[in-house]
Amino acid sequence: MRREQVQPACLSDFEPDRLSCLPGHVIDQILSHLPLREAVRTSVLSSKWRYKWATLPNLVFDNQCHSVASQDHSDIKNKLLRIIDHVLLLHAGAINKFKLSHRDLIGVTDIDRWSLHLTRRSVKEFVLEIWKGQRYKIPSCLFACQSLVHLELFNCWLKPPSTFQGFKNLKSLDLQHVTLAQDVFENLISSCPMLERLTLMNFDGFANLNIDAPNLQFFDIGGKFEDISFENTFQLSVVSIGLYLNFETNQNRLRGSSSNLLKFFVHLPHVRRLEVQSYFLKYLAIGAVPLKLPRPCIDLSYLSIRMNFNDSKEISTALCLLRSSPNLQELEVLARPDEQNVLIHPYCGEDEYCSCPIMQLRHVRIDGVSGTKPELDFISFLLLYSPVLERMTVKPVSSGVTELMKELLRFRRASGRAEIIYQESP
Amino acid sequence: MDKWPSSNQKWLSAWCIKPVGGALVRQEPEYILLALMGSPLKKIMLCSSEKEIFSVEEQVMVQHSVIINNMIEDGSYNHEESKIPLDCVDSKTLKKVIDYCTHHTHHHNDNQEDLEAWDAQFLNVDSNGLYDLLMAANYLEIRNLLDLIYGTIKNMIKGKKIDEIRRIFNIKDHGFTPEEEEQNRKEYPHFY
Repeated sequence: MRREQVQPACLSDFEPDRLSCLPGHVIDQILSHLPLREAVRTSVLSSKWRYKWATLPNLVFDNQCHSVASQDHSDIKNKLLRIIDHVLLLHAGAINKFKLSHRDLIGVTDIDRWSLHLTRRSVKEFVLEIWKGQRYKIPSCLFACQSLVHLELFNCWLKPPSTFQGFKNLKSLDLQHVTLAQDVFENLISSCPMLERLTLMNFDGFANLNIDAPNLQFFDIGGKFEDISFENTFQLSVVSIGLYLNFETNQNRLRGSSSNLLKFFVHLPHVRRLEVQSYFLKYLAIGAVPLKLPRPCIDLSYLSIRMNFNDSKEISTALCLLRSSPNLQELEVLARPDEQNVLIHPYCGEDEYCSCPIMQLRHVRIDGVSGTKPELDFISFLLLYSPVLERMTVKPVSSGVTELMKELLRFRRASGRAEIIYQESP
Repeated sequence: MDKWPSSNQKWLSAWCIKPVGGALVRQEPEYILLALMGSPLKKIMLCSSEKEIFSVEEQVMVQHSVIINNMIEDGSYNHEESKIPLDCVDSKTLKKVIDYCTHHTHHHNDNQEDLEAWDAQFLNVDSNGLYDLLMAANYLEIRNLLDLIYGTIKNMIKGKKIDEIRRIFNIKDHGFTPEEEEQNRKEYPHFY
C-alpha cells in the first residue's frame, strides 16, 4: 500500500506564491494530473487561477467527478449535469478528449446536446459509456464529426443518417454492447480509410462480418456471428476472435464445403499474434481441413487457441496451423469441455499426427486438461517436436490428477532445456 | 554491491578475443587500455548556475534525463573537455537531482516499498526546494522525477479545502475583490 506523501512544511510570510508563477505548460501538467473536478475547483483559488483549468485538453467525467456525499440518484444526476454544462461552457481552447462514463442514468437530450457542442469544438477522442438503460441512439451530429481519431462506445445504437460520409480521420474504433445493422457496419468500416484498430464486443443486429480495411493492424472481436471474412487486410498483425455461439454442425450442409480455415487466412498474410477463442476453432474446422496452408504464416509468433480435445477436426485444424507457422514461439492451448454426448468427429488416435513439423516453440501453456488420451497425445507431440522449448506449463482442470503428472514425467522431450511446470489449482 | 559494476565486465570481456559468427573479432583498443588502467566508469561533468562542477556517471544521467541522453547521443558532448552547463539549475538542486538519478539507477532492483519510502524521504523538502526540483526535472526532462513531484503536488491539492490550499501554497492575496470572493462562495459552495 502506498504510503502518504510527506507534505512540505508551510512557508514563512516572506516567500512569494511560486506555484502560480510556474510556467504555463508545467501548470497544465499539474492540472491534468488531477481529476477534473479538482482542476475546475482551482478556478476559485485566486484570480490568477481563474482560467488556468480552462485549457485542459482532456475532459473526463466519470464516477470520480463529484463527491459521493449524496446517495440520491436524481441529486447526483443533477450535479453531474451542472458540472458538465459548466465545464463545456467555460472551457476555452481545443478539446482533445471527452469521456463520459457514469453509472447513473443520464438524460438522452443532455448527451445529444453535449455531443453537438463537442463536434463543433473538433473533439478528437470521444468515449461514451452508458451504464444503465437502453441502448443510446448516437445523434446524427456525431456522424458528421470529421475531427474524430478515436471513438469508443458502450451500450449504444448506431444508425447514421443517409448523409454519412464516414470518418475520414478515424484511426481507432471500439464498440461494445452495440446494435447496428449489417450494411451500417460494413459501410462504417469501409468508409474509414485510416482505421488501424477495431474492437467489437457483444454486438447485435447482424451476423455476417466482412472486414474491408486496408490500414487495419489490430482487430479484436467477441460475439455471436455466423460468418467472418476479410478483404484487403494485409496490414493486420494482431487478431483476437471469440465466437460465443456454439452452433450446430450440420453434416449434410458441410460435406464438401470449402474450408473456413483456408478462407480465413487468405487475407491475413502478416498476422503476428492470433487468439482463437471460445468456439472459433470449431468454426475454422468446418470444411475440408488441409494438412498445411498454401502460404505459411511466417510472421506468426504467438498463438492462443481454445480447443475441444475430443473433436478430431479441431485437432486437425490446430495441427494445420502449427505446420504452417514456422516461426511460432509461444503457444497457449486452453481446453474447452465437450458439451455434446455424441461426438461428430471422434478422436482417431495418433493417426492425427502425421507429417509432424519441427517447431520453434519456446513457451507453451496448456490449461484445463484432465489427462485424457487426446490431451496426452497432443502434449507428447509438442514435446517431441520442439527442440528449443524452454518451458511448458500445464494447469489441470482440477487438483490431484496424478495420472497426468506421471505421464508428463514420462514423455520424451526433444529439447534438453525444457522445463515442465505443473500448476496445481489452489 | 558488485565489486565489478556491469560496465566494467563489458570491458573485461573486451580483453578477450573471441570468435563472433565464425570470424575472430578484436575489441576497440582504447577499451582494453582503460580496463588496464582500472578506472573504466565513464563520467560526465555537469555545471550548475553557480559554476560548480559535479562529476556523475554517464550511465546514470543518460538513463534518466532525455536532454542529457540526446546530447551524448548526437555527439555534442566531448568527454575529454566539455562540461554540460545547466544555467537554470543551482548547485543545491543539481546535487539533489543527481542523488535521485544515482539512487534509482543503482537500486532499481529494490522492492517497490523501499523505493517509495526513499522517494518520500527525498521529497521532504520545503516548498521552494520542491519548485526548484520541479523546474530542474522539467528542464532536464526526467520523466519519473516529474511524475513523482506532480503526484506530490496533486496530493497537496486533492480533497483539501480552498482555504487550506491557499495556506499550503502561500497564496496570501487571492486577487479577487471582496464582492467576487463572496459571489464565488455563494455560487460554488461545493468547491470550497
